[in-house]
Amino acid sequence: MKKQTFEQALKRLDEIVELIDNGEISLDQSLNLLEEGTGLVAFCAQKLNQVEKRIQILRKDNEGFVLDNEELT
Amino acid sequence: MLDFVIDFAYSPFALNQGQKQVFALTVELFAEQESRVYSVSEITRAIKTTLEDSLPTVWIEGEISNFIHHSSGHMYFSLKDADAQINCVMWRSRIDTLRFVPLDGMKILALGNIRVYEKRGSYQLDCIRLVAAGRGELQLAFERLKERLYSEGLFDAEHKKPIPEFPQQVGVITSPTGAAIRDILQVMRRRFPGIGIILRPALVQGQDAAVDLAKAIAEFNEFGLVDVIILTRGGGSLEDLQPFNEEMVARAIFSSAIPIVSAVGHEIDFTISDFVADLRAPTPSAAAELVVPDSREWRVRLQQVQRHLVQQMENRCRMAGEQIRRIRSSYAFRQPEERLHQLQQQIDDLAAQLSRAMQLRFERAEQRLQSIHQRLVDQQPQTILRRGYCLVWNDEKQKFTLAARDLRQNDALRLYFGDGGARAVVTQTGLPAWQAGDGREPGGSNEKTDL
Repeated sequence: MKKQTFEQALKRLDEIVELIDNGEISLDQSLNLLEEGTGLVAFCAQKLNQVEKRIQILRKDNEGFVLDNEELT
Repeated sequence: MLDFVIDFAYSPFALNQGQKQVFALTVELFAEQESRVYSVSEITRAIKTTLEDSLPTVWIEGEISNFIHHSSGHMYFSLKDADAQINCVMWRSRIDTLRFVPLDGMKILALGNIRVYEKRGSYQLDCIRLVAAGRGELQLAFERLKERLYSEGLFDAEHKKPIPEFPQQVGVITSPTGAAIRDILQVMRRRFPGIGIILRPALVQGQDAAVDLAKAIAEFNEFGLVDVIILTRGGGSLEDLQPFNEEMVARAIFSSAIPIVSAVGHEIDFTISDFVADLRAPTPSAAAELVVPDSREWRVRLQQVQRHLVQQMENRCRMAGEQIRRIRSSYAFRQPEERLHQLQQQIDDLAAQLSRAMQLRFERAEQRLQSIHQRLVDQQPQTILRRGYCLVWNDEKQKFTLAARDLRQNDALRLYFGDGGARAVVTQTGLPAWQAGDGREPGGSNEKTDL
């Protein structure tokens, strides 16, 4: 599966909430959705809790782009 | 008309020859005109139409005199030069475009239309914009470029790209030593520590800045791995901000496939970049706030979604339970065997689903416990460490190591204890797990993900 983004996960969560709220699906289906929703919430929480990333500096040289992990002075 | 002429011709005043000639000429001129008589209103209207139609919106340079900021909010003054003056008015509604306080004696440029005020039989300049003449040229160039790009459609809303709600990587174009990048970093780290920030250092003032800024935008587009770009610099004089008013930069912004947020100078400064960009932010900090979501806010929202989902499921399960009871107690159970089997089947299905739901709830409760535990650990690492545990930071991977399988030989590590730390190097991997008396691994938490 393609790498999921936070945005996609939230969009899907919205859909799931709507489907379950609608109440027109079977109990089995809503169970599956709950399962999926719980997974998505965990995924999003993980994204939110990512550790602080360092700033990177974009530099272009003859061979292409380089990202330096330099500290700003 | 003839009577009038005779009156003059026989006037008792002695007229010399030259004066007589002038009179004769005047008389001739009058005679040639239509004999129509205008009312004052008519001639005034004619003057108004002639003046207002023949003079387009104009820039006028002059010195302010008799400046009055009336209590109504409108500004009245004259513009004068060595030989002439013109009355001017600037209506209250346009005053917030002013970037300076007009004073008597100040040299300015005024953009406006000539209007005839019929009641007083006077004409005046109805000012649209006033510019201090010292910066006149830059400002004029700014106005002209703005007008041209506007008419070309570069500012049109239909070209504005949406700013992604959750960017993973943000590109920043600014000076690496300015206040702007510091402000942005501070806001982003507070709101969403895990976001990737890539800085393309750029000149933000001086002659070469416009070329560099345009190049930086093109480079980010070529590089491709950022979801949004912040183009920014802190406050400065109009001259300092000039690169952001260059056509080259405007075109680069317009042709960028990646959405661009422009934040140049202070709240009151508007640059061409701001107009072309997909979004304008009043300050660098504000740009960071607009681009990066607040993770705390979203954590709360996610919790709400989760609670809502679980509640809904509980409702569904309760309803299913009631359904089972209802079917059991119904008359249907007294019906023929085949029908009975069908009902039995239905109950079994529902019961199976219910038990799955219960299991899910159970797992979820466990997850919640674990996340609460995790939060406690995050908040109070010292208390845990003081009990003799140790945190292992892997220098290679730039993160904490939670499982032995994530270690490689020669990895440089930092060990954090309750009272201090040490550096270490992995000399051997693949040792068996530590066995306690009850046969369990310490902490039993190797299932944990690295949240």
